[in-house]
Amino acid sequence: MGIAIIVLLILGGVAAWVCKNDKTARLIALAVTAVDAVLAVVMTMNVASNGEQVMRFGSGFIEQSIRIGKIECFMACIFGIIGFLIVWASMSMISHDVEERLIPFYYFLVLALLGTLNAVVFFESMIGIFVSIELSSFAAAGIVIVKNQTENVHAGLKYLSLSILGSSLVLMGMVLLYVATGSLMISGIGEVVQSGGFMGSNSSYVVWAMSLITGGVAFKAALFPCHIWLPDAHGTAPSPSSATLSALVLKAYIVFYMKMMFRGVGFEVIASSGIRTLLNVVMVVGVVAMICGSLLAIMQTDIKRMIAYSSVAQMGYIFMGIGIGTEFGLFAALFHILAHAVTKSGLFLVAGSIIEQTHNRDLTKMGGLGKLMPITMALFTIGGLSMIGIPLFVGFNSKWNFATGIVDSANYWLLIPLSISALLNALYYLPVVIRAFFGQEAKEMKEPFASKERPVKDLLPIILLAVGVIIFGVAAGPVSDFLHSGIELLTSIGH
Amino acid sequence: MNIALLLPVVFPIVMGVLIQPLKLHDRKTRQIYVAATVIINFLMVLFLAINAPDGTKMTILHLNRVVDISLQIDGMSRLISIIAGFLWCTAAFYSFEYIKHEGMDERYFTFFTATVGVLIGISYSANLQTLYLFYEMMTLITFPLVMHSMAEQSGKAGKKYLTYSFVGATIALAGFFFLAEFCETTDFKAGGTLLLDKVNGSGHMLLFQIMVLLTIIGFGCKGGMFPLHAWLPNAHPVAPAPASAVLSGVITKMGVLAIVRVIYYMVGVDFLRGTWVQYVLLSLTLYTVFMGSMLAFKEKLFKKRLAYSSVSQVSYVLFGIMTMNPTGFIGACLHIVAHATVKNILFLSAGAIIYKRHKTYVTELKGIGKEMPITLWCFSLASIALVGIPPTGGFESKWYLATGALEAEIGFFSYLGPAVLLTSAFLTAGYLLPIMAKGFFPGADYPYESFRKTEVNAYMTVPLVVLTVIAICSGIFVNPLYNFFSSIAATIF
Repeated sequence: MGIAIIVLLILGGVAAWVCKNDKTARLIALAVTAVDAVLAVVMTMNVASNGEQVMRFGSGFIEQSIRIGKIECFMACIFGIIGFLIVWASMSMISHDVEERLIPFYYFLVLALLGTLNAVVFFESMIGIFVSIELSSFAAAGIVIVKNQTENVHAGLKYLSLSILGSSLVLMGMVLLYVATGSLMISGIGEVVQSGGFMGSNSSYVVWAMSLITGGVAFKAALFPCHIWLPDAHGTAPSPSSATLSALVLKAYIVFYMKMMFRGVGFEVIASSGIRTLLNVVMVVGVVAMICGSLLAIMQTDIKRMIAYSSVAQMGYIFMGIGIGTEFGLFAALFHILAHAVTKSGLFLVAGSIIEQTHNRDLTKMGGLGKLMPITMALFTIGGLSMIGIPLFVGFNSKWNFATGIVDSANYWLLIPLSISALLNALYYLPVVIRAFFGQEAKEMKEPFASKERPVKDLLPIILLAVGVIIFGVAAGPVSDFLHSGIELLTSIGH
Repeated sequence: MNIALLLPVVFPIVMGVLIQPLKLHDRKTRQIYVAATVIINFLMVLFLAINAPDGTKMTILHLNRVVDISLQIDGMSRLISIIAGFLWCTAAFYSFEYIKHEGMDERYFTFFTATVGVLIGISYSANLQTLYLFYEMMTLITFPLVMHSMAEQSGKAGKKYLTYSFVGATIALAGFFFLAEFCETTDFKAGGTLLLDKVNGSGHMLLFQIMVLLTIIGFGCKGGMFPLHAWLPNAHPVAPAPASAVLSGVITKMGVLAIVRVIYYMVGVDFLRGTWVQYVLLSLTLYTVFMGSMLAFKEKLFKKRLAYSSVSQVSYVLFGIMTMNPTGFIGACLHIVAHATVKNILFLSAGAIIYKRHKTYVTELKGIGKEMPITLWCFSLASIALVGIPPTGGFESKWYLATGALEAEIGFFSYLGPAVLLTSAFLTAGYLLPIMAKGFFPGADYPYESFRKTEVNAYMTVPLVVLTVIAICSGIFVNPLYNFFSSIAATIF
């Protein structure tokens, strides 16, 4: 079924491109992502009841393997459902940013991107993963450049070149692991690395290889200070693209990294080898990212760049969770993938709505917006409160999970940056809300004023995302159980 | 019965939120609507306080597998919920008249009505995460009240309020993660559920103590405890007077309640008594008592003086709690009642003067007692109660606070505490009684010929008089209160 999802998305993309008509292309994209979402859910139920799905084809050096456990299903659902909501929201927004003749091509890129992201997560074999990573990089840069403005082309090229740098680091790491272990499968590597005595003599190979992969993933997933492409790319891209890039694209590489680290190397080897030092570095850099990302976000005046820098900070959380290197840390990181995907896609779409309706990106000029666009600003408030970590929103559960991971692993000092970072989030999200609802402009605005609200049917996908923020905030139990059992599968090298 | 706990929490929030969609543009209709809401809510709170047995509990939500949001009723929740429910009624009636000169009535009543639900939520919280949830909601929902005039000055005060509140809550939350790890449960159980062996075994005793201290300091922010007090003198005065009254009188007590929960219902007094943590906390509260009084003494802006007075008085309560002694605790509870009523009277009468005479500085209040006799009489009696002159509630509470300090084994602080409380009482007299004296006896240069009586109407005087009667009676008939607080103290010591 995993293959079906990938093929469906890519063929759907080609169909959207070939039809040459922007209306048909939109409908194709909407239909394909809807089917993708349904397939992902069905696959999840299937895996939950029947266990992992494994598929192998080819043989020898080019043997490919797809292995779909619970975490892969979890990611497929995020890609499917949130991807569908973003595409739905883009129906009414995209013509603001992308020329009509390019819309079929845009949807080809979006669908191809979703397909390759699924592939990055599903593949177990290095070659398949690497090819998917490369293809997804091109598609991701494509949905930035497609806006066809000078700044977009620059941002897209910057993104593409750093992305390729990242991929090549990942490739070198893979090659090194192949030389050391003779396997091109993550679980094959895991079997060798976790067998007794291997790390004794080959420790430096694995540490070097994992360092290279860490460096590569740092570029691809925008870990500070390798994030320099992100604010340009996410800030200038069409808003639905920004939502896709921030909520979905970054996460695929993270899951790949988790698999390399926790299936390929494993908790036990991590705890007893040089990998622990590497993860400590990841943890510290993650903390620096949390703080610096937020500080940079505070300095922004452009709403989309602010949200983009906020992503840098949020990726820091995820890397910190990975760096803790325990099951709780990993769980917190995985949960935060969900939390960030739901919240940030909503925030970018809200920002897109604001820019579309007011033609203003400047945060300091958004006074009184709460009166002109009450629903939109209410959605922004929900996203902001979730980011700060107020209970009843998904961000609080995430913060709770990280804190549990921190206390459980006895890295108590991490509570300090965790708390500071939450405050810093408040420092850039709340002023926007306050200015919108309580600014001088709001006071001076006398009725009747022209409402700038978008019609509710256009806002519906964003409203659904906000509902997701609340649902996962008040009832995260089932997802947490699913993730906990998924982590067992993720870290086991069987099959 | 258990589900009934949810009613006084949800009912005012829903009713408040509905004010704008229902388009209650007509002033009379809106007043009846709000009055009905707060009165019904108070009756529900009262009914629950009398009829629900201790430990009645309901779980609303499971945020995740570990964190549940639950409500529970016990002695402390009865005390705080009744205070909040009742003072909301008086403040609401007062607001009906007062808010006419502020405008934006609908928004004001939306947030005013909803706030009481959140406060009842805090008092009914069964565990620390529920308390934290309502605590953050309280910050967000009272913010529009602070910002009500939307003037530049209130904008600054509002931002300061938010910043301090979030800093405080975040510090408390960081400590909370430790408590969750080292306590048996995050539920509030009288006497605490600390796993002492686990703390000792982890080898992080000092760190744990620091985190407990930080939690208390973080929650102390709402109670205006040094070092996170600086927002209070800015934020309370800029709000409309009835909002200042409940902010100062009731909402500061939520910080107190949170601290009581941490000390007496999670960590347990036995762990903290005699440690450096207790001495640091005692020093902080005594410093705040003194500093608040001094600053109030020097302050010329009327409402700001009252706000500084709150900084000082709430720390009286906190001092009683930090003595970790039953008598001190009873004194603290009595002072919660005394300060809540008295500070409401003071702010409401200050508001009445601003409403009628537009006088905001204490130096302008000469002869105000001639012009607004009922208001100034209430103000004077409340001042006397706050200073602690018998037979008012303030006297009883300070008596038990001082006795508690002397009884408690806190060394040097047994003597320093009462001394500071006494000094501060003199300062209280110094900053409140001159207003009364000048108000009633303006001196020969008062323009008697142009004198006119400008008393406010019944919407404002009735709440003032009712509260004043309570402030006096709570001192004369102190026994029922004393017995009630002893029964709480008996469970936690």
